[in-house]
Amino acid sequence: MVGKADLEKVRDCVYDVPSSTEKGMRVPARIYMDDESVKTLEDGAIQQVANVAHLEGIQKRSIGLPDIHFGYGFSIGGVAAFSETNGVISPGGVGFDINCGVRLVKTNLTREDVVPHMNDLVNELFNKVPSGLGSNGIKHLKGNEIDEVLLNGARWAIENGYGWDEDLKFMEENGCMAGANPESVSSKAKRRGIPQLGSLGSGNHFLEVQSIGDVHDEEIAKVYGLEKDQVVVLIHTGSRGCGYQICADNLREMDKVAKRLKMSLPDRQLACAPIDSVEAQHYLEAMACGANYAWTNRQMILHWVRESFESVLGQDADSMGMHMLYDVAHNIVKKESHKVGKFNRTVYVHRKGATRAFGPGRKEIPQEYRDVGQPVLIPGTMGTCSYILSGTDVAMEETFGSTAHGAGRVMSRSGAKREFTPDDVNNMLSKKGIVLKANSKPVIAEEAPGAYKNVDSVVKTADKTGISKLVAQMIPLGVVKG
Amino acid sequence: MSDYSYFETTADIGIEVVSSNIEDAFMYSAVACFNLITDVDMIEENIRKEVSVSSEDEYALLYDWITELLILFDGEFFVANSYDVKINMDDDGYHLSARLLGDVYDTSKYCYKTEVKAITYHNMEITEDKNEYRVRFIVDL
Repeated sequence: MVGKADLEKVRDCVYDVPSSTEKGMRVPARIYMDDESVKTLEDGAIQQVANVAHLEGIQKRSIGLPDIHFGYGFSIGGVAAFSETNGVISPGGVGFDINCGVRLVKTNLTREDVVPHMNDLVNELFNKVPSGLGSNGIKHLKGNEIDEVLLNGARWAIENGYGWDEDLKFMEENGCMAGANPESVSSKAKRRGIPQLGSLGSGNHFLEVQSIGDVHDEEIAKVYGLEKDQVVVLIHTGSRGCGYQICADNLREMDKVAKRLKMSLPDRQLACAPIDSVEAQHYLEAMACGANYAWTNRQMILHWVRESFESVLGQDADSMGMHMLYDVAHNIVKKESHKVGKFNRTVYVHRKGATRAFGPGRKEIPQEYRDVGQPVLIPGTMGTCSYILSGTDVAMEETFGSTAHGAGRVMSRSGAKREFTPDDVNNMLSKKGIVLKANSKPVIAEEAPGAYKNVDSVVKTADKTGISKLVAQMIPLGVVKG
Repeated sequence: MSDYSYFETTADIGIEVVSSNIEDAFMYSAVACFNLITDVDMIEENIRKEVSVSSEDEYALLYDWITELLILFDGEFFVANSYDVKINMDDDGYHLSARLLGDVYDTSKYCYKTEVKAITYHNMEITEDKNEYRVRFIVDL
């Protein structure tokens, strides 16, 4: 069992587990974490980062980010890059909610402009954006239209009246992942996805109206078009049942491959296949479809957010400056070029509960932000602060251009329900002046801020270790929860 | 005798079922899973559905069975109250067929607890000992 005793300090908040620690590890494991969090970290999570280091073709190191916690097979808050020649692809390295992610919409309104309307605004958002269990978005998706969504991503949404052309510029992959093939998506995944397109869903997904709090880097904030007290909206959701099913289908297939090739895997949920295998290519084609579904979903929700602001505040979205800052994916595998040793190599970077944090100069970043690095969005939990950071050169050097993605759960759901009642949580939020509207009472208790690791410490570690740079804090004003 | 209980994991929830035969064990696995979503006892028996899945081993059969029910839920909003499960085994593997009685899940009629995304293989256990089946698995919420 690999655990805390095996951690060797590299520098402040950075620990390595050398590859000699366990037989079969091909590269070291590295964890970015402050001393206090290391004390409470589950040993299982460290073992999982070490397990990933066993997989064929892994490059440089297996990485655990400051919000790491125990997942299935791969930990959540983990990054691993595999060689394009002899590496593997693993659906478990992406997770069930393919392209779960966040996007931030700006406004030119201030806190004072919006706070008096917060009740109306939250009600309007709650009514306009389908949320909660079995929530279905647009029911009129006909015939093969789902295939167009899976193939074209956010562009489909814009062509169908959901949003502005300029929005595409501010999404990873411009909202459409290359290589998507709807024929590689099972009819089961399509059946689960069709009724849910354009919906927030449940669990930890949310929609939040926020204002910018402390600005830590004025120069980058200016480039991003952000200033103190400005109102912004954060949308957090993913690919819904469509993505869950794509993952489930492909895990099943990879499980068979692992058996056939007699791979010795430390955990069945690590099931994977060589990159050039039919199964891996099939998964990549399907995963790209799942990613496109998620971008379409967030795009439709963005459109309803703009409409909600229009109807409550009586101005059009354009004059309220409701432009997108950026959209980032938290669960995805991408083909990218990274420096490994002396050379640039093409690798498949698996990010599971991790945010891409490309530093200055990368061509994948929109021109507007290229000099300062891409915006990184790290949502807090219901009622706590969220943060905007920027990508850095250190991330490019050390983490395949990746950083943390959020708070990370520390208390079980039933533990949270024992500890907090939905009314407690509601009272606590309203004392802070935060308006909350949710579909499910149990979810309010399960998602109580106390059930999560403090996002402030996650962001602090990400900033301190240099794998991203803190730009600004966002304070919640109103929350819509599934 | 059959029963089910839940056990805790940090992020999600585990289900444990103890039963005298595999068919009941699989039935209660489904009941336990859907009781996380809503109160299964309250679901009216208005619609009949049939489900069949074939898989190479018992673990895969459990995975496929729960997955099939989640697809029915997300795709057709169907949730069952009664699950009549039959399992056969031959050279090709395991075959499960089930007759389900239930209703369209309507949040104005039925309560809503939480969303279940998927069943996982993580720490899944199916053991048989002196005619006692014990099934343990974790669902991703």
